[in-house]
Amino acid sequence: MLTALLRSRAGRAACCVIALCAAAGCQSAPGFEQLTEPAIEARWLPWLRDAQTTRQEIVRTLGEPTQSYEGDRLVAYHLYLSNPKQVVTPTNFSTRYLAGFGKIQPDTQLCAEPAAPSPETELRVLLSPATYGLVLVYDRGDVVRAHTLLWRAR
Amino acid sequence: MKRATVLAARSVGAVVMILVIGCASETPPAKVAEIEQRHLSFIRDGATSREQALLQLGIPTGTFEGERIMTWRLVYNGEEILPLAARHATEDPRYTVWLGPAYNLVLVFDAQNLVQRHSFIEVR
Repeated sequence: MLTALLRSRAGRAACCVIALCAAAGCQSAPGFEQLTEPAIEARWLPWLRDAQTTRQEIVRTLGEPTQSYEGDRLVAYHLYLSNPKQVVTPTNFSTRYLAGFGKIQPDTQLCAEPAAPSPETELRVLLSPATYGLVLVYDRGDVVRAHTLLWRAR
Repeated sequence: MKRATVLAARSVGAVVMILVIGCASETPPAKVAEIEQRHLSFIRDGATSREQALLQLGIPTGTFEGERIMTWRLVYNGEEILPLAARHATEDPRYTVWLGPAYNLVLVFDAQNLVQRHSFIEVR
């Protein structure tokens, strides 16, 4: 059937249009609703609960904090979205940036930026459609007492 | 003569268009004191803690003298005040069209981790 379609000029044109639309769809940016703090918390941080989550659980999931204050009582994580299947290198970075992050996929991850990020991580942070600051306040028993997630404008 | 008249008319038209577009797109800038009063009223010298500041404003852009001085680069979109990321890509098309002013909030903390004094200024 595809061969028959490709034989006619109209068929080839239709195939081109479909392919272009599919390509455009793959490159479309995530909707604003998907990037709001409540949406991010609901999808990637539902396990984070005040008066319940421990420092150990936080470190196991997010790693070491990006910054800490007052003797680790207050800690902060720089968070960014990453599509792991997108290969990012300094040479293709500029093109990818202009092409956009692409849709939020089922395997898109919310990652914590380490205090000393690798060059690839830095590119992924810059490519992310939004970055966030997660601030956690621990009580004396190393349980989260309060937290906030804020979108960081760029 | 006729050509010169047409050119002059077109030039005047272009200038009028630019002025109209300029007037239409420019919104009156919010005053620094107004923004501070509306969105940063929780900051009170001698009363606000570092914890409160971090929970309200997120991660500071800069930290100096240990943790004694913390700064936040903020932008105001007309409705809310947002922390500005310290880094951004020069390729980011959103950055090249971003024209709004930015603000610097500087908090100086005392030994009890309370705000000792603060300043909020507009930067270009």
